[in-house]
Amino acid sequence: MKKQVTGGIITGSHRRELMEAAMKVEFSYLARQFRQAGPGEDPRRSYTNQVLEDIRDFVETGDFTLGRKLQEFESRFSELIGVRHCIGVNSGTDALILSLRALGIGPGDEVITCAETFIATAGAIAATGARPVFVDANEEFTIDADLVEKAITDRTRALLPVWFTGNAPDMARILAIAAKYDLPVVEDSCCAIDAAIDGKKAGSFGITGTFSFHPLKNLNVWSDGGMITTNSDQMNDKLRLLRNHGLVNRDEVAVFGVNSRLDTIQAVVALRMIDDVGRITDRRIANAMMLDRAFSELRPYIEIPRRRPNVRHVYHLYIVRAQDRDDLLAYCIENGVEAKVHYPIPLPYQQCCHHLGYKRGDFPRTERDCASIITFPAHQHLTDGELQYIINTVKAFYKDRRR
Amino acid sequence: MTHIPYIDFRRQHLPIRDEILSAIGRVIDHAGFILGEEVEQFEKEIAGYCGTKYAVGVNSGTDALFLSLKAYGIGQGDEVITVPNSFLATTSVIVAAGARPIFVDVADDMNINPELIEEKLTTNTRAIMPVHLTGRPVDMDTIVEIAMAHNLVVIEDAAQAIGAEYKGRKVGSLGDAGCFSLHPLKTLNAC
Repeated sequence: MKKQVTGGIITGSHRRELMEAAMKVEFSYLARQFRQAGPGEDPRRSYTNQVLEDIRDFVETGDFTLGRKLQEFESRFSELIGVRHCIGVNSGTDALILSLRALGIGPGDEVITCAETFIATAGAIAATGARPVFVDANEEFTIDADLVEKAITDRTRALLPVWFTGNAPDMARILAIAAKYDLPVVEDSCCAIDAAIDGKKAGSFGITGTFSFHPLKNLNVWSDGGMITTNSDQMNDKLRLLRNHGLVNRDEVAVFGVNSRLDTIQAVVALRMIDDVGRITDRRIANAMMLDRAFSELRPYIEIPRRRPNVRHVYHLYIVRAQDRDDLLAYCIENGVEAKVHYPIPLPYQQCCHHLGYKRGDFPRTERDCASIITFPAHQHLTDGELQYIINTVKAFYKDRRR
Repeated sequence: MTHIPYIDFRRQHLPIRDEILSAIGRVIDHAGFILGEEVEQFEKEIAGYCGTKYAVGVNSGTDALFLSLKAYGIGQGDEVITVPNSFLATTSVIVAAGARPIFVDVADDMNINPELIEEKLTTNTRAIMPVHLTGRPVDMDTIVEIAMAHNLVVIEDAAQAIGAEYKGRKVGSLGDAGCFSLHPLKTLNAC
């Protein structure tokens, strides 16, 4: 007997029944994104067609490199984040590298960041020639503010907290420590477009904020892309030079820079999507809340990290801790739920970090997390039926385990 | 008065616009945005066109040069020979890698003067980065000969020279690595 999955409920959560109702819940939503219409628009006119029309018009202008549409997007993004300046660059990774370079950070310097993050955070520090100094995570997968001061040396040149998963690090304490030691703060807010603490947006706290427009981000450009946000006129001037070869004008070069311009054609894509960021993010948050409510009944098998009411966590990644994680992961995948692990190996123990001399036991919480965390799909295109299917799959797993 | 613009992108793109837009539509349908199948296909075609075993797609011509230097382990304390009359990216990638640019003057053809290279070599020299400036190939036989005699890497800055040939071989296939740009103003561009 087939179970109905429409209407949000699968009756019964036993494995056999679950298998009968099997569906595939994908982690990536990209194929769906482009079948949907924008807000208040005729659903027959898909995003895809709108953007393609925009590109068609844009190509005729020939305004390809650092064009007018890029300026327009930078200005719109400034409004979204609530900062004075935005500088479009190649990628979130480049946003980090250029922020550090603009601060004059290089060989011999140290930059403090969190051990639980994507490799690009540490890779950006290493790319400048500086040394990444890792601090263990707290209960919410962000840098443990209690441990930051112990990591500061006379070579420390910046703090680089990460809005990992789309959640806020303890910015008040990090900024206080930074002020005490006279250090700049660069925010890795690549996962956190539209995230906020008490209404103040990610990317507006530090000397710079850094964003990624990778396809899986809540605002994306169909390719790699990035943005730097800043309220500093001086940083803005430096960053605009650095991203464009250090060119003051067509003929004169002030400093050695790089080629890291957000393409104008990418800005055309982003301008079509930016109006929708709030709605996309709200939907992700609602999905995460639905998963939270259901998983809270599964304690102690599932442990949900602390949620703070004053934080707008945008759930770029929906991560919880799970008992028997590896078995749960395999079970979910076997049943069509594309769960993932972000990330299974502690960054300080990766091969690329061997020269930094870290050893097992240096980051106990990160190690514990890497063995227990699991990421579920929570994207804006999931149906209620699919969310319920994720929940039922996890419930069925632990029900079978208890027997 | 007749106005002749330096570039007319509209004329350039009009005949192929619809074809490109429908190809973009296909990418959107399969959603393989990062390192997708089209990138692989394009890399294969470029390798075939240039007559090389591999082609690796990157952000820009500047990054192509920078990553080539990094791949050969060139960095702090090293010297790289290049020309003083190229676009500044040729030199800035050497600096970005942590190495020191060593300029060799050009000959009448505006390309590096091979006769002046050897006097600039030191124990720190690691690579020669000739530039096929304006699209005109460098005298590569002499460059490769010098490089082999001194165990140096040759990285061709072929950013302006896609399709150019030297003794029947395409530029980009003549050194250890060849670097191209797909900037809008290039013969082959990606917007």
